[in-house]
Amino acid sequence: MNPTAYASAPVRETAAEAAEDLFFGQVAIIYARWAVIVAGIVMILAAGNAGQLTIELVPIVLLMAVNFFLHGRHFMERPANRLLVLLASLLDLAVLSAIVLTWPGGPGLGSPYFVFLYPVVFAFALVFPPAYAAAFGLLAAVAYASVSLFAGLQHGPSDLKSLVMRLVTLSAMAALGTFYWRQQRARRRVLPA
Amino acid sequence: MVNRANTFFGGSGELSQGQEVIVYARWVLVAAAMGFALWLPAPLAQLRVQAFLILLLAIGNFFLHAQVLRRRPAPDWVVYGASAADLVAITALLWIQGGYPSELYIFYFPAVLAISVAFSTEHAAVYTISAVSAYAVIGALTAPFDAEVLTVVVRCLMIAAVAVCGNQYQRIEGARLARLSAAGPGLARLEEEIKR
Repeated sequence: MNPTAYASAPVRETAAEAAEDLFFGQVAIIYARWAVIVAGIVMILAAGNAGQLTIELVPIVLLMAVNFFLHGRHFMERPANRLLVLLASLLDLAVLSAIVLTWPGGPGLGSPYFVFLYPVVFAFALVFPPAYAAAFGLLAAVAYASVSLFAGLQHGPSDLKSLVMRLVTLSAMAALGTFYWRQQRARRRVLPA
Repeated sequence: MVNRANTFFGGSGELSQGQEVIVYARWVLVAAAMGFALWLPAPLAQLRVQAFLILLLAIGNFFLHAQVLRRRPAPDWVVYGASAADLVAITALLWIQGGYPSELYIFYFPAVLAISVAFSTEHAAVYTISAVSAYAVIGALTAPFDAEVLTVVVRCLMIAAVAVCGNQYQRIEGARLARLSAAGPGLARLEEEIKR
């Protein structure tokens, strides 16, 4: 179904619909963050020394604190508002960029932790309108590219190819999430308020 | 979750309305995989297999896309088969490229994303577990050091996370739509719009 096919149909109030999107959908963002936390804990098990363990522990504890708060509010049926969810998602990007730069396994492109970005970008695109999702996807791609270029491309063209592959698939996560969001909204819009 | 709204698209209702997402995700796979296969290409024998598999996916997807555009989605078994073929193709290409060192595992993300929003929870779980298991085995067998097995575990966790987020969202949206449709004749109107 073309998401724009029903533009002329009676439209439920956009602001209320956006609030519902956030109310119901933010659990996807919360689950994505829990997945990153669990994966981070798995990596902490492999920490070689106390210094490394400390470096790995700090971002995970930070993400856990944020997610306890947001998930707690969701359980109480008082989910966070748009600004808070946005800020938490921006914090995710900052923390994940720091992880890619500082965690063992090689900084930047050599880091295996860029995969944390995929569920985070996808979940964000499921909850927020396309303009926000595009901006967030772009920000994630720019942040990852910046961190990778800052750390340096050790193997020249093959590293550049890897970087572009990762950026293309990361962008695809945001685009497909947004497409599904638009599809669902189009289906709801023909229903009575 | 069976999505009732899908039944009038010609599907059985078993599939939710995510066929388009599957089709677009597969175009991403085809275009990106072909582009990257030709950029710093592998040896000729390997490149032949890559091109063959990618072109097969493209032909199949052209058929499915045409069906969606004509609002006559393919039968469920074709969609399930095509999605299984996606995962098999990604796994085969990964295996050919040496398993762990290959970057192609990132194509599991859009493929699993599409499956998670289009299929019922049970089917999405089966497909995701199959993909993750296949990659876990290949990754663990080909990882050069024991420490890198943990990297494989992290990758598998993230693939599974995408599936959980997508399917959870699909269930939430299904429940929202069901609640709204119970309040009025919206689905009947939607059907009329589509026929028009």
